[in-house]
Amino acid sequence: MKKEVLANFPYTDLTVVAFVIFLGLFLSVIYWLFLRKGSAKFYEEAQLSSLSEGEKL
Amino acid sequence: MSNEASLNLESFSYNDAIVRKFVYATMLWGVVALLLGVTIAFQLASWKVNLGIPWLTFGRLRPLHTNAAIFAFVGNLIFGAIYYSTQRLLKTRIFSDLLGNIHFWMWQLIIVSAAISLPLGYTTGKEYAELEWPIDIAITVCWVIFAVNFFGMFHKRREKHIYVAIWFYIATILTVAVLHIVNSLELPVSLMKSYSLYAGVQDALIQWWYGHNAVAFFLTTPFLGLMYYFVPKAVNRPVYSYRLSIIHFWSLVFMYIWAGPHHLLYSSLPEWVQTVGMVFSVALWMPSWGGMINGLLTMRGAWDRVRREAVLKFMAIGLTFYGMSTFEGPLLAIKSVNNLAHFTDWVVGHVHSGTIGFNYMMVSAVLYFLVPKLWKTKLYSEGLATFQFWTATIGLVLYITSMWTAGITQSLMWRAIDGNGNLVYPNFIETVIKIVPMYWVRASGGTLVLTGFIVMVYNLLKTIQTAPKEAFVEDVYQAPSLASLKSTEEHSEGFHRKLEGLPAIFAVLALIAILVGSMVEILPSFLSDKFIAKNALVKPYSPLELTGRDLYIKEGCYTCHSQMIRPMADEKLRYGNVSSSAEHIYDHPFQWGSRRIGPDLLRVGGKYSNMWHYRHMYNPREVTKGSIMPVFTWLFKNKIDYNSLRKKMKVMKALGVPYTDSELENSVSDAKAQASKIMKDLNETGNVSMKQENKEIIALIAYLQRLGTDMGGKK
Amino acid sequence: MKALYFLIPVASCLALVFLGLFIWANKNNQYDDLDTPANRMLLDDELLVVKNNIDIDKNKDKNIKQQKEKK
Repeated sequence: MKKEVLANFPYTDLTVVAFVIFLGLFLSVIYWLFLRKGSAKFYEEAQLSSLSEGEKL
Repeated sequence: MSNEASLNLESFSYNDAIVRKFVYATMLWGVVALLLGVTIAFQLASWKVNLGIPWLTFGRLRPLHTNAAIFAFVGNLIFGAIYYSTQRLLKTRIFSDLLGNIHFWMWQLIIVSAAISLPLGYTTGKEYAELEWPIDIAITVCWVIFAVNFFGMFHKRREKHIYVAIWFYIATILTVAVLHIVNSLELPVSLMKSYSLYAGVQDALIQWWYGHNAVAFFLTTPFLGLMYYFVPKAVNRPVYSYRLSIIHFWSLVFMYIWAGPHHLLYSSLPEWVQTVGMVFSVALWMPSWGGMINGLLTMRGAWDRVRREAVLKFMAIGLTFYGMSTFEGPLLAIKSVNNLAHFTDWVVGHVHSGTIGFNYMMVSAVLYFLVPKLWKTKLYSEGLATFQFWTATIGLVLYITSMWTAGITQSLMWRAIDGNGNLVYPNFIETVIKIVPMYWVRASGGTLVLTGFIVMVYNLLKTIQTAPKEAFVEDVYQAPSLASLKSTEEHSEGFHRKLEGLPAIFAVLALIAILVGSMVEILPSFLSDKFIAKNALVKPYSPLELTGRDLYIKEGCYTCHSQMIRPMADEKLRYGNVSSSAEHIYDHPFQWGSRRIGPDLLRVGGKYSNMWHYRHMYNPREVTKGSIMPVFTWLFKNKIDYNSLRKKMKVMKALGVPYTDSELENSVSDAKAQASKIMKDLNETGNVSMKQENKEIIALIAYLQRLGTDMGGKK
Repeated sequence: MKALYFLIPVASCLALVFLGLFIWANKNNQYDDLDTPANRMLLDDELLVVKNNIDIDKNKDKNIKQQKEKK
C-alpha cells in the first residue's frame, strides 16, 4: 500500500510547506529563548529555582 | 617496583611549530573549500553563475570543492591535531622534525596541484579520487612520510599505555593507505591522463568501498580520536567510560569496512553483496552512538560551561550532529528507504549534516582550543565565537532541511505514476524547476556557514596577534623513560618493545610495497577477459566514442547525470530497460554517477537527434526551458585531440578491452569517418557549417548517441 | 563480480591486521588498567619543568596595548 501512496502523490508542494513550518518553528524557538528581552535573566533565575527554599516570596 | 634513584628522567619538548603550520593551513583552505561550496551551490540555483567559463563550471568545481573540503580543510586539521595530541599522549616528540616539514609542504603542494589540475579538466572521473596519477603517487609518498613520523613515536614513547585516541589514529593511517592505493590503481595514458584498472561493476564496487571508507577513516575515525583527546581536555574531566571507548573503537573498525555497498543498492551489484552492505551499515549505528554517548557524557558536570565557552559549544553540537548523521546514515542504507532517497538531494543533505555538523564543528572546536594554547594567549573574543556558532548552526539547519525537502519532493515526482500506468511528470525538467527554490535556501545556508568561518579566522588571527614572544620557545617537560619504569620484563614484552622501533617503520613501508606490488601482479589476471561474463551484444567504444567519453568525464557530466537504471517501474518508463552488469564491462572508469540533478543518461542513445544534442550543449535552455545546466560553448571551438587517440586505445587494450590490431592502426581514420557522418547529418538537418567536423562537440555527440544502444535501447 | 575475489581478501587481511593488533594489545597489558589512562591524560602539565613565566591573562591585555601603541 505504501507503494500505491508513493506512486501517485499529487501534493508536491506539501514538502515545501513542511519545510516552512519546520524552519518557522526552529527560528521561533531560537527567538523565544534567546532574543526576547529579559529571557536571559528569566532562565538564569529558573536554573537556580530548585536551589531556593522559597525566600523570594 | 623501581625506586626513585633508578628512574631515568629524560627532558624533552614537543614540536608545536609543525602544529602551528597545520593550523594556518586549515584556516586558509577552510575558507577556500567553503567558498567553493557556496559558489557551486549558487551555480545550481542559477546557471548564470557558471559564467560560461570552462574552468568555473559546476562539473569542474564540484570535485575541487569535495577534494578541498576533505583533503585540504579537514586533512590539514587532522594532521596538526594528531601531531599535537599524539606527542602529548605518548610523551615524546614527533619522530623527525625534518619529515614533519616535508609532510607539511608536500601536502600543500598536493593541494595546489589539485587546485590547478581539476578546473583544467584533468580528472579520473571517480568521486573523491579525481586527482590524476602523478598526484596520487605524491599523496602516497606524503602519507608514508606521515606514517613514519607517527609510528616512529612509539619506540621513543615514555608512556606504556596507548590511549584510545591513538588507536583511532592508527586505524586511520593504516586503512587510508590501503584504500587510496587500491582505488587509485590506474594505467597512465599521458602525464595527466589515466584509465582506471577496473571497469563497470568491479569499478563501482571498489570505488564505493573506497568512497565510504574514506568517510569512515578520514572524516570519522580521526575525529573520534580527536574527540577522545580534546573533549576531556576541554572540560578537564576523564572520558565517561574508558571501557566503552575501547569497545567503541574495535567494533567500529571491524564493521565500517563492510558498509560500502550501501551506495550501490538496486544497482547491478549482486543481491547478497547489497544485503551485506545494508546489514553492516545498520549495525554500525550502535558503535557510532556508543562513541557519541561517551563524548557527550564526558561533558557531564560541565554543562554550565557549555553556555560560556565556545570550545564546548562546538563540541556539544558537533557530537550531537554526529549522532544524528550516524542515525540518518543507517536509515538511508535500508533498501526501502534507499529506494526513495538514492540519487536525490537527501543524500547531499546527509553528507553535509555529517561534514558541516560533525567535521566543521569539531574543526572549529579544536581550533578554538589549540590556538590559545599554541600561542600562549587567550581567545580574542568569545562573543565572535558565539556568533560563529549561531550562524553555522542556522546555516546548517537551512542546508539540511532544504535538501530533505528537495530530495523527497523530487523523488516523489519521479516515481509518480497515474492510473493509466503513465508517468505523472514525464518531463524531468518539471522536477528540477520544483526544487530550485530549495537550492536558493541551501546556498544561503551555506553562505552563513562560510560567514561564520571567516569570523572565526578573524578571531583566531587577532588572537595570534596577542601572542607573547615566549610562545615560540618550546616548553621543556620531564618524564622517566619507559625502560627505566619496568622492573622485570617478560620475554614477550621485550620482543614487542624492540618491534616497536625502526623495524615497525620498515614493516609499514614493506606492507605498502607488498600491497602495491601484489596489486599490479594479481589484478590483471583477475580482471582479464577470461573472467568476464561477456555478452556478445556489448561492444567496446569506437575511437570517436572513446574520445567523447573522455570529454564527458573531463567536463564532469557525471556530477549531475547518472548512468544506472534501477529495477523500478517508474525508472523503466522514464529511462528504459534496467542496467545489466554486462553492458558496463568496458567502462574504465564506470560512470554510474551518484546524483540526478539532470536525468539518467544510460539509454540516451538514439532518444534525441544529433541536432538536439548540438543545440543542447551550446545552450541547454534552447531545447529545455528552465534548465539549470551550464553552457558548454568551448566544445564548439576546441578541436578533437586525434594525436592521443592511438595511445588511449592501446592502454584500453592493455586493460582488457578487446580492440583488434587493425582497429588500433585505423583508429584516427575510423574516428574521422564517424565524425564526418555526424557532421553530414548536422549540416543537412541544422545547417551547421562543415568546419565543425573536427570539433570536440562531434565526439561528445558520438558518445551520447552510443549510450545504452547495445542492450535494450534504440539505435 | 570478480572484484569480490580481491576485495574480500583485502578487507579480511585488514581485519586480521586489526585482530592481531587487538591480541597484541591484550598481551601487552594495555587493557589491564582501564581507569588510570582516562585521568592521566589530563595531567600533562605536571610534567612541565621549565615554564616560560607567561601569565596569559595579564599578557593578553599587555599585548593588545602594545598593538594599539604601535599603530
